[in-house]
Amino acid sequence: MNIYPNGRDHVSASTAHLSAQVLEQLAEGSLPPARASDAATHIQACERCFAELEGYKTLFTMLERLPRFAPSAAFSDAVMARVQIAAQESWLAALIRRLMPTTRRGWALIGFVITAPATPVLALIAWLITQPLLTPSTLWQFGMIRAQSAAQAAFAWAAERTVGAGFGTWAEGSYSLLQSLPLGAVGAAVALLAIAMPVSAWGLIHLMRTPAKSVNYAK
Amino acid sequence: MQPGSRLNALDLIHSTDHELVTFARTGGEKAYRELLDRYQRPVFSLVYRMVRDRELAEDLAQETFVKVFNHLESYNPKYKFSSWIFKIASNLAIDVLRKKSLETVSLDGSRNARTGEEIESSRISVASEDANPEELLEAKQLGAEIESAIGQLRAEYRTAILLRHVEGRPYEEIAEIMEVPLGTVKTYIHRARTELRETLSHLRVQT
Repeated sequence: MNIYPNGRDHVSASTAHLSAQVLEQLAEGSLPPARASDAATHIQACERCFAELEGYKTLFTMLERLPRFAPSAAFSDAVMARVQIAAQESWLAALIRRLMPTTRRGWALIGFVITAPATPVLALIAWLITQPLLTPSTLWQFGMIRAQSAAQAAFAWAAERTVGAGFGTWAEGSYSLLQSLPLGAVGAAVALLAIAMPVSAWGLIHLMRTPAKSVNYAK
Repeated sequence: MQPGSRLNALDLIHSTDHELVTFARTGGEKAYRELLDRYQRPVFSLVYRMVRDRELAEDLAQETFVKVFNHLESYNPKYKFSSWIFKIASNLAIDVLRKKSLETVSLDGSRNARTGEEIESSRISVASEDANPEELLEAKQLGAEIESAIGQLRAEYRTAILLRHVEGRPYEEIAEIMEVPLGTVKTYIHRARTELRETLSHLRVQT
């Protein structure tokens, strides 16, 4: 079919014919259904518009049939030779990266998850402190006594099961040593640990998120 | 697809461009290769039809991929990966055309071509592999006429018409690629079609 089946005539400027834009949209199927229906009715009765429409369809078919060219066989390798690829991320680092929030809303959610369970505990402590018979020092002593008895029970339980291996004797000695330490020193050690643990965890996460070394494909 | 996990070829083939970019960012070389496989022909074809010089087109296509792959961190997932890569490719091609004044090319090939050999090598050849000799010759002649007509279009019209009809991109994406308003894209494509119909009016084609 000829691009211009009726010669090189353009669509008439007369309003009796469909405009080039409408014909193009009709040919590529992008004309809204209501207008497409009106246009189709007109085309059935108008030889010129029908010919124009066929001309557009033919052009579109020819363009769509144009092949895609392939670059040379060495193309991929030539590209990859110039690309800097980061070292493969470990599964643990990828998991942590995925879990880390990336938006404000995510950080807010994490903050809520962390602070929500701590809030009732803090409220309880605050309430206890406000009681007239309870002072911070009596609370601290109470906590330490409870912690010591829990530790004693745990050591006794562990010693019972490890006496045969000699570990029980070592643990008993260590526990006696701990008991001989002043209460303030134990508290300071616990506080130090409480600070050091999240700091070291943050450092570890930071290290895992940073690619160790880039791989350079350039020769 | 989970970034950092071991992927087989099937996973990669079924991954979206966005997933491949995420995996490539974490050091997945296979993801780069898959993106390269997906886009090397479309990008090379676009650039080749723009500059009509195979060697130059190959350099520009290579430059496009290197730019994209080395700046994956700056990729904005709000936009399509295809828009991003076509934008870089078309900008590079248009820059070269402007610098070398190649906008209007000779019917036989690159305007830069001086010797017969250069003209021959810059001519875009189109041939179907499953046609008989007569059909092959006809298809080749027809293909050459269309390529030549495309080559006579203004660079902007050429980019728009190739993205629309060869790559099948929607108008909105073409506007994004060319960084022009949607109305401008529609005008470019309309004018390109009109010019192509004029240039190809002597042809008789079986649909």
